[in-house]
Amino acid sequence: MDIKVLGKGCKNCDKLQKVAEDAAKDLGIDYTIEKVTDINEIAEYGVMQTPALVIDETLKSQGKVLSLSQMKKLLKQ
Amino acid sequence: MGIVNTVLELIVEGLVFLRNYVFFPTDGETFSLLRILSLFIAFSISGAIIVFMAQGAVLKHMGPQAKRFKSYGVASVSGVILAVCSCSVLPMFASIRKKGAGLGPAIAFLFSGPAINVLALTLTFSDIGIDIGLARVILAIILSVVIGLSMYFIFNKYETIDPNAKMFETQDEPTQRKAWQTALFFLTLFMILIFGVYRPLPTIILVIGLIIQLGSFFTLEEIKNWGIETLDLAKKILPLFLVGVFLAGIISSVITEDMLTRFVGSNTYLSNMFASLIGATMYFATLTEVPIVSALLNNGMHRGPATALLLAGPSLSIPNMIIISKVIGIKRASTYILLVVLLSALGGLLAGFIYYLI
Repeated sequence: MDIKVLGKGCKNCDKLQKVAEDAAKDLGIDYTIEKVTDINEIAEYGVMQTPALVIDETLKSQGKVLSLSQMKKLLKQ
Repeated sequence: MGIVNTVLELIVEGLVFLRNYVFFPTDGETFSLLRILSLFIAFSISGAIIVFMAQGAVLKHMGPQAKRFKSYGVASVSGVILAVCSCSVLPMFASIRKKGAGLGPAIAFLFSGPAINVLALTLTFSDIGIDIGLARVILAIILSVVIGLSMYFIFNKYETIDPNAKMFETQDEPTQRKAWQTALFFLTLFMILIFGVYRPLPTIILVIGLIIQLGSFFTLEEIKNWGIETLDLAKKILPLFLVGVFLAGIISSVITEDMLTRFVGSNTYLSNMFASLIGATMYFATLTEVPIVSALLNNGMHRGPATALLLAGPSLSIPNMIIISKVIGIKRASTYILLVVLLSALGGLLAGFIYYLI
């Protein structure tokens, strides 16, 4: 599973990345995680609010730090 | 030794200014506790906007399928809802341009967003005055459309809108609340802000009304989210804001009245131009433009150039310019910067004349 955290290096981006990592580990999923900070690349996903979460090239959430259970729900899909 | 002393003196000046700002405002009628309270109300409104306002509904009007002229109108005023903190403006700008309504509306949003968010407006009205506050809102909205349309007409032939763009389909979280309930809630909040602490009786009645609304229209979870968001915003913005007040103290002791009177003490095109240029290059963190301009005004700056500085200031800075050129290229970015500087100066000049007439 390919997880991307989009955002210009804000505190909430770090939080979101940590939640994603924790959730993936809890679920025992094979994953790669990448931080996308380039504003042009972020815009390619049509993101309006950072931090945003992209799973396997699909935009899943934006503008908020998800809770662990919300994140697990997204990863299980 | 001389330099060390001077630096120390400056720091003391800044700290004294900061202390006076927070604890002992000099203008007599405002007591600082009241100022802190109205700032608190403004933060609560901003938090409520993030949590309770359907941002997806607004974004739709700046998407690729949006009607052209409507999208300019929406872009020029949507800062109130979307740009709660000026730090969020740039990614939105990049996305509207690449995946949404295109260059013109994106530029309109970029220019007006930071000037018309609730926090910036509240502080401008309460710290600087109703005249400049009104001029700031009205000019930011009008100029943003003018600048956006100019950019569209200059660069239109090179612009392509991505036909496959699928963005702006942000889903708003489903809610049990009806539209009139949300509207009434925000109306109450804004009225509390306006009546504020100076007219306690209507405010108390309004607060009671607000509590009743919270109890009957909102879930506990929603109210909790509102609190968290408000606190988050305050934590993000207040420290930088206090640094801004401190810097305003240093600026007012370094820049003498003599210098200010000479360069920006009258309402000429040249002085407006000067103020607009300074505003465009200097970096202002969210809200810090207000105490700085307020300090400059007290030391002899004319209200016209002050308006020009407020127009060009928050939407441009050198770090901002670099990011904007990365998104739209150097040629478009320099045209945008030129337009902002020229039109902000013109706006300041115009406002300066009108203040004089009134």
